[in-house]
Amino acid sequence: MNETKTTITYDDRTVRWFTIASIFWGVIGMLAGVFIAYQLNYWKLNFDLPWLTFGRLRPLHTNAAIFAFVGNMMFAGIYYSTQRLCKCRTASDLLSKVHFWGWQLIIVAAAVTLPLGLTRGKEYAELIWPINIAVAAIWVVFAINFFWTLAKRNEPSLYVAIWFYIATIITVAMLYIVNHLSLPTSWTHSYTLFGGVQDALVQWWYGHNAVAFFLTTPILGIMYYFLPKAAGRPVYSYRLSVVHFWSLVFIYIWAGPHHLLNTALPHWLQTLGMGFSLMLWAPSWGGMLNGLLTLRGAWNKLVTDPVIKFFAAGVTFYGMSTFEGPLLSIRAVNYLSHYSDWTIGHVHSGTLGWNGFMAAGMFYWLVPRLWNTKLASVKLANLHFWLGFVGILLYVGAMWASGIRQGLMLNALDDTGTAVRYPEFVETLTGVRALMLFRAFGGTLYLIGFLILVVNVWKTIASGSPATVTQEVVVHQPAKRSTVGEMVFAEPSVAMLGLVLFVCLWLMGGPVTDWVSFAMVGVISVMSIVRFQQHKEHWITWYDHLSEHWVSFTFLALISVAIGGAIQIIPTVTVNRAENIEDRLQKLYTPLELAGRDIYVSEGCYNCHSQMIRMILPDVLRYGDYSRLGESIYDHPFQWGSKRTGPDLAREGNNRRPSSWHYQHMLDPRVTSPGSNMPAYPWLFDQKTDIKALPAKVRTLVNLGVPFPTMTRDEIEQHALEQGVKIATELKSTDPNVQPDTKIIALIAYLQSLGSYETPKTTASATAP
Amino acid sequence: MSKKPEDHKPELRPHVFDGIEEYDQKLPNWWLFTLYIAIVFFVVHWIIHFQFRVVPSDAQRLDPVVAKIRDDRMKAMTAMLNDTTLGKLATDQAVVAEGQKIYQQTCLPCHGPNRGGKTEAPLYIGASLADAEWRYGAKPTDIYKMIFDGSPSPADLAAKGEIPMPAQGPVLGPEKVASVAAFILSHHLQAKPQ
Repeated sequence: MNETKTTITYDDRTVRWFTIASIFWGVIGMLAGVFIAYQLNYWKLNFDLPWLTFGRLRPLHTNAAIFAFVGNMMFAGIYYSTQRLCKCRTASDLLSKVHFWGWQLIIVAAAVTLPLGLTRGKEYAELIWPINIAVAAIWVVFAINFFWTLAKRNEPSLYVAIWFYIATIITVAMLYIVNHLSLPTSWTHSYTLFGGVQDALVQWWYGHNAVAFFLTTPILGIMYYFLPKAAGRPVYSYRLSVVHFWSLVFIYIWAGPHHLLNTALPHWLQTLGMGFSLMLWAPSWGGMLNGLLTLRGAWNKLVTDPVIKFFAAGVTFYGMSTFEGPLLSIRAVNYLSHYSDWTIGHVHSGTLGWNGFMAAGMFYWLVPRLWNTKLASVKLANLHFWLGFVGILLYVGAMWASGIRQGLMLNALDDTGTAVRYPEFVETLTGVRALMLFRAFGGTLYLIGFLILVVNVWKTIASGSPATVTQEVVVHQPAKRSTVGEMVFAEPSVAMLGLVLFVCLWLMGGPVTDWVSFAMVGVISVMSIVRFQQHKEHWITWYDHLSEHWVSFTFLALISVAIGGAIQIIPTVTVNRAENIEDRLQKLYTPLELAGRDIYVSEGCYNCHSQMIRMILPDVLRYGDYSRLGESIYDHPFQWGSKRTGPDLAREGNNRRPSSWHYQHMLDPRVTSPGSNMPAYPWLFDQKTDIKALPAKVRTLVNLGVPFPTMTRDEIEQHALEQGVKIATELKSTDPNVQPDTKIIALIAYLQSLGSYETPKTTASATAP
Repeated sequence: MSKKPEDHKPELRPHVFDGIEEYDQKLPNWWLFTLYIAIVFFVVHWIIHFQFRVVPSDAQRLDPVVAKIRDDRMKAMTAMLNDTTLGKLATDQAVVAEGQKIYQQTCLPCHGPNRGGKTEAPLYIGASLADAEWRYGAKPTDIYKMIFDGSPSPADLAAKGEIPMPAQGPVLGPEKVASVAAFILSHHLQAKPQ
């Protein structure tokens, strides 16, 4: 073997850019978060301005925190560590530049469109379709740049951090593309390809795994690089890395339905969601253990080094929230916690504690090295830590208390057991007002802490100058590599793939297949254990080979993450058709109701109102009959919601309240519901409904399979106008000047349509076998 | 790797990545147990629910409960409440006070603080409860029924451009509806004895 050496220069400019971008967007995202937290307490902070209302700013907060703050932080960490772990400069400077500027442009586009009310109406997937395409394209640029770097690397073996980056890149691409499939009706509006329960499943498959593969796996990779670096200690256990990596990426994907527990979602899917969430506990804790136990022998640094402080706390918060997650996924717990602040608290112990603190630790470690200087102030960094820490505890504690209290109040029955104890939703909201304020305080403290980081980083950068790091490396000449076929058809992978195949057959199979497959799962498990004991060396060598072979590794990782989603989503795509719905079928929207629905989506009503009455007694007593799958089958996108800051609206229509009530309520919610914290929507009373856009919208929905009767362009517009006039006449006694073509009329038409269904005629052809 | 390290000194992996070393410690037993227990729980849970199907579905569990509550409410209404008992409740200060509290939360937004509805201020959209006109019957049980079930045939009313009264029974339950009815009636004791 002839060894040639070469000197490489790392591309740290890209890392510097992403670092600064992350910190900048972090401030914006957190500022938005704190602002909307105060809006919940002081409705006047909505200022009666469309682009400052909670419903539009909350998506801005979540998107900024996830994609701008954590996204840029992740890219900084990945670009820095991948080059060093591969002993090679990032493959293409041009692609790095396109990646950086493309991503920033996307964020700016998001920050402009979301306050304008341009949205797809799905959580963490709100951005409109042209931006979706840009995100997918830039992600592919990132992927090419990353895998090209792996291909060029001078380091034969892939370190565990790289495994996590690989899983991140392929899974996020898969999730993002599938959940953003839509048909445009204009340049700024589209309808989701999936509707009703399918859309709900796809959404939470995406939503849950955005947490998994955007907020967790890349940060675990970053932990595996930066934490041992900062601590100067070896990683605790390689085999724990192997076991927890593969179990984590395989199991995570299945857990999405735990966002839809006790709803109309078929029970088997709920059980998968709950069961896999419980099984996810150990793999998640594997990451926490490997992080915390790596610090063994470096605990003295906890006192002196703010970087270690942030990492230790960040990993601990990771452990806390990944314990809480499975707990909340238990149906009986979810009965209480769903739609409540508890969920919000859970998410923030992950984002503020894990993401925020890992980011801070990484920045404090990285910035002095990137600018060839020392951290400006350890004292300030410590102050940031304690402010942030107390902020999180206040935030999370308040949300626990608030979620449990409001959940108990909402579910409480009176002494007769035949009615809810607090019939007015507002009463339960008033019950948690003080706690909501504590949350806002906690968030404010956390924001102040982060601003101190900004000052500290600023001063650090000012004291140094951009560093250029060069290193002499041995050029890696790949020996004869095994092919993908050889790697995949080896005993260990065949055993694991067979196991997974029979698990799927067991879960999905008919009355005989399931037992046979279950037996096969047992047989393969025992055989695998026996073979592993006998041929340990062989299995270990295989894995060592695998981690030298990024194509095979990526292929197997892709299979692992693809299975869970396929099992859950594909059956509903075929089953969830109108002709298969037995009990209730949603009534088609009229054109005006459809226009109203788009206004509902655009204003972000789903951020505070659900449209899903769960199959639990308190929900039924409070809101009416539990929701059926058929009742949202034509909804593109679905609007089941995930949080009830206000009451459920699934059966709000059909004159449950008079139209004039809705009219008053949208103008000033506190007239009709004293104590409400809902924003007022005065602009809906002036702005005109976009009737002209309706024909294209109806046509698009017909293409998606919604059976609207054939109507000409004029008929559609005429129908909408007539219905508007009808509602306006009803409202004459409330406001003689109401205009039939204003948005409020369309919105009322939609609200009054909620909960309308018909019972399909069971055709006699649905025969016995 | 072929033999378990008997001593407690952890073994370092031979390869070093950019200065990062790795131990290869055994997996903690308690950690493995949490994984195994979760897997066993899932398998048993799945088999009970979807292979033996011995656990009733959510609908099978919930539907009878809801049906029974509906029945109970009807029975309670007919047994407990007739014109005489309701009339008596309207003289019970405690019940009337309770009814007033509920009225202020639930009914006031439409019927106004003085029960005048439309006649009180243009802001209010409900019918007047203060005058002597009772569109759907003046007996105490009629009023109870009106609050409990809302306007009869609301769709027809809406079509005529009138505003139907929403049913409060499903939300409030019979007891609270009776208190509200008692509160309303308490203002009509002198004017219009039943």
